[in-house]
Amino acid sequence: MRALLSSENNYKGNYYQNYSEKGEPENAPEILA
Amino acid sequence: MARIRAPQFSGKFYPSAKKELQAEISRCFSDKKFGPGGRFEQSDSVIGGIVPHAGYFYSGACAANFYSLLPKDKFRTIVLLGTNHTGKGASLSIGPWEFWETPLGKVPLNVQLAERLSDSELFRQEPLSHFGEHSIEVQLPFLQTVLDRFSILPITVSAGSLGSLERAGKALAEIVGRKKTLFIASSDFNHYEGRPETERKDFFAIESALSLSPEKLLKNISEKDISMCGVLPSALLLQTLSEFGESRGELLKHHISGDVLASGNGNVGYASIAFFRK
Repeated sequence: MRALLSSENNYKGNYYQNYSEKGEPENAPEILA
Repeated sequence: MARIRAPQFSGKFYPSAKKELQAEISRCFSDKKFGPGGRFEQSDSVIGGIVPHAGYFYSGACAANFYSLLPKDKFRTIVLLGTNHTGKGASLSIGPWEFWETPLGKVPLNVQLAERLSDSELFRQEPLSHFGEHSIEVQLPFLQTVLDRFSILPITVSAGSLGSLERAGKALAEIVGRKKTLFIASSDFNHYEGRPETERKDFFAIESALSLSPEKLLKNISEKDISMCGVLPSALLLQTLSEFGESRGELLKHHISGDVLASGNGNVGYASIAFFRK
């Protein structure tokens, strides 16, 4: 299970490469949770 | 009471136009970093899961890992155990609308089971806890995408001791049963801390959920100061599954919001967990 935790999957930062061309949503902070 | 609950979070947590929503869900399922990468490894033994409920931008792909497991014609009733972020309304509240509408269409309430649960006096049908609450609504487009025909029991869980959750779990198991039923708890994991703290706390919470012990989950969340918004629906899920005998849990995916968009110390953890009949 630990192997699936994010650090060990090398998810180290902001690289959401395959999101749509629109990029970051304007309301990003409001939809965090 | 209106018969139909109109979408309250389309255009915010997920697209409001049907085609855009379908494209966004397709992106979630095909996402190779956070989602299932286009794989649909359907499981006949899946009985439940814990899925995140942030905007699809952040956690839609993570949630898709769970939804990709669902056979399209196996389930007829989906019990959706949601967080109650507003704290309003009944502690075990069934949304009373006959239909929940999304840009993909209308989802019917299982009226018969909703009434039987209300008769148990543990659950109440009332709208207040479902106003301004997104944790159940954001799951519906995924279900509409992967399932053929189904009804829902949308229940927010906002308070309760271990004893009351035990009673509620027994009632769900006895009244709803597991035949053609899927149980989903909607929860994000730790909130608004830096990466190391978020991952450390998420690990404890995920490990506790995988133990299948509602008592251990509640205890660890409290003792480790983990802000898991859906701890109560998740504990009720574990309690309900325990009534059906042995099952096993599997972590399908975990990541934090900072993996999607850097946010300093404001990270939220997301996990997709599936439970299977042994």
